[in-house]
Amino acid sequence: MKLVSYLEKKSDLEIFKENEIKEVLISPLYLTRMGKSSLEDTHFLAKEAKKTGLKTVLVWDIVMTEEDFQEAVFYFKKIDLSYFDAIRVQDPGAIQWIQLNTKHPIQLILETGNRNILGIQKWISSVERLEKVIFSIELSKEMLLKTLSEISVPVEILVMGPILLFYSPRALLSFDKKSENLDPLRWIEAKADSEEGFHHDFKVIENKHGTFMFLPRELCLLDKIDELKQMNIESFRIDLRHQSTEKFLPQIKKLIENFNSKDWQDFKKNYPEKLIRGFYAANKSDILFKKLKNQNIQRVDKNYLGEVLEAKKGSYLVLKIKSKTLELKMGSHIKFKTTTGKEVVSKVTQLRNSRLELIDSASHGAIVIVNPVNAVTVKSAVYQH
Amino acid sequence: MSKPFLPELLVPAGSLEKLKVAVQYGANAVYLAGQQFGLRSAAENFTEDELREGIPYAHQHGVQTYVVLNGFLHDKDLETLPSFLKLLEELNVNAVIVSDLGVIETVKQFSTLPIHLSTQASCLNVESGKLWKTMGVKRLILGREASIAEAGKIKKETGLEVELFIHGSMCMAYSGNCVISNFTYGRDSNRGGCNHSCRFNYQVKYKDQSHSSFLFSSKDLMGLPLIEEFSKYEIDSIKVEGRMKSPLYAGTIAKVYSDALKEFEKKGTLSAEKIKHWVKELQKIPSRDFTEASLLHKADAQSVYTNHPTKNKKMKFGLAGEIIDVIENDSILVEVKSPIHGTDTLEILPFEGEPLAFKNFQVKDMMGNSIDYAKTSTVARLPYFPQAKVGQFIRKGASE
Ligand code: SF4
Repeated sequence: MKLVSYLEKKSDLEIFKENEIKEVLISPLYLTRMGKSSLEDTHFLAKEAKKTGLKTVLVWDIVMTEEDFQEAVFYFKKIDLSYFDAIRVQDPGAIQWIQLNTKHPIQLILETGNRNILGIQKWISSVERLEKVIFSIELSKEMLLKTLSEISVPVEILVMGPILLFYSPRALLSFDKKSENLDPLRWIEAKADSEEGFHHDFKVIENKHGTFMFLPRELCLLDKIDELKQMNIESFRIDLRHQSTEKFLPQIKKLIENFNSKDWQDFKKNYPEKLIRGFYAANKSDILFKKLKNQNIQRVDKNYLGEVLEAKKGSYLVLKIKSKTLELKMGSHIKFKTTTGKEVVSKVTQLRNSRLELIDSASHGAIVIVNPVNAVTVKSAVYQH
Repeated sequence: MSKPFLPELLVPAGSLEKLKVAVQYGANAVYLAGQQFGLRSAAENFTEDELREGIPYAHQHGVQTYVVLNGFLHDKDLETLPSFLKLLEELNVNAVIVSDLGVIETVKQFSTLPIHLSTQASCLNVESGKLWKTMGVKRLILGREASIAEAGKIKKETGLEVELFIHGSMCMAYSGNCVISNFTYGRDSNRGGCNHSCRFNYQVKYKDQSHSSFLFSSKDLMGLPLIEEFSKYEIDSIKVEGRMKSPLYAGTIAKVYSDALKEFEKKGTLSAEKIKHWVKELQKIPSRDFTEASLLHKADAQSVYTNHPTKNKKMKFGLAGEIIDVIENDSILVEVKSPIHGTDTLEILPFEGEPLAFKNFQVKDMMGNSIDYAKTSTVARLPYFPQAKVGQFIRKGASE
């Protein structure tokens, strides 16, 4: 297991070294979502990190339209890749380009989507020179264990850091500016609250690449670290870009090395953000969907005749015959299934067509009037009984 | 004059009813979902029996059918996918819409169904398209951030079909790159659980300023005036968003865009006057104001929806009902969706051409008795019009 973190300033190198960080992620302004480093800084940081014996990774994780892509490639070509040991990418366009135009090992970000082993395996077999995959923070422990047991490539997960909720290409904090007046070097930070959704203190950042919103709580799996260490995960990522590295990295490293509840309580008390485990314990974020559908009005075609369009109490029912094969017959028994699931059986004692003529039977497409039936409501399904 | 390139008009079919509406009102293709696998899990979606009715119905009318399997599916979802694919093949579905490589692999392994890459995959550049091509994709449904010109370039350089959204609600985030609902409501927005947090009113504090705004909320996309551009860059399919929207929405949008495409096919151009007329028709349906978003240039501040949604709730036209039977020289039967009074100004929305307005009429119940007004969820008898056809909508509102 090795620790990975983001390098934004030279002064962090010493702290990284003291705290067992082995791999650093360097984020050029033009290629990386949260990138701040100019070309010069990118080279400088990579060179210094290498001198310190750290592994250097160039991050190219923006999502790109064709125009953005051309700009990114133009910029990428200026980077001296000899300072870097690997390149980390997400956009399939960047993956493709890196495969064809460099010889560097690739670290593949699988944070968006990629919730099944088959897909992850396909990415792994499709990307040349793949060195590592970075998993989504939405994988539960169960999914992590299952996936890790079926793939052979090294894996990285985030164990401590902010949760990115939303990535928009639009400049949403510069709402009063035209795009041509936007400064590409801008870095605007704000907090957003909404009464409507009980959303409070969302951190929002706008930069050249768009607008990013973060959860006011950070992901922290430190209290599960012993369990995670058993899982054959190659890298644990620590993202302290929104916090003080100097203050918190030593505490985090201590907890990773030797977790104990006292240090853990102290850490939680001192850390400025609330900490959550996200979906680590379980990911049930699709469970609600089944409840959203009304099972009672779902059609079951066996014996299905049609639907009630009007239920005039004590007078009549208007039905639409929807079955292509079955007919509604005078004198037959039919079953109604209401929207609340109630079932009522009744005999057809009166049957008229839309011209109000008495008829013996009605078929597909017909609008008919039948005798009233208690408790039957509009939208009830009608079946032959 | 050589015939202009005509994109396919692809309209959402959130239910069997909406599929029929879209087909009748002029869609060239519809997209729909089964009970599992697609986004928009709250939409009515199709049961197996409804698929068995809806897909042949579309095909009989010469309309293509695409079934969405575009949630980011988990392993357990994939287990049940092969049997669903078998059903889709049996029904001759024209393509499946997929965003996940695991699903693509499953589709390839268990069927020969053509694969369209969902917009959820945020494919936006040529190289990305080339990579997806190697994965077996036939059509790219590009992210809404791509311009028409970029889409044309992607088509040319990848050799794949391209599809671009032309109308409907927009995600403010790159598709697939928003998990607000996941972490705030425990509902996976990438499996249909989005609760539209981006549309809330936010109090934004930065530096020493604070203001209240809908800054994360996008206006609706409306690209009708750009049909010539779509044609120029040979965009294969223009797509309307909104499987969860009303049947009136599906019908109106399908009709207006279909009318515009037919006119364009005939004349090779669209006059400013006609465009103005169609846009006015589109404005009769509730929207969050319109923007061209990134179709020509990158979406900017103009694309943000700053009105409070409730301010715009007042529709100019609402759905009064649907014609369910036409009794020649006698009456039309209407399934009433909102109360109809004899003094209302109503409009029959024909499948093609101009709406037919009428007012000051007698309202009768199903049995032919005169009534003051027809209530919602009843069947009313209205005067006969020879132009009226089963399936057409009747709108209610004031003609401008
Ligand atoms: S909350 Fe908004 S941006 Fe996020 S998925 Fe939903 S519609 Fe898209």
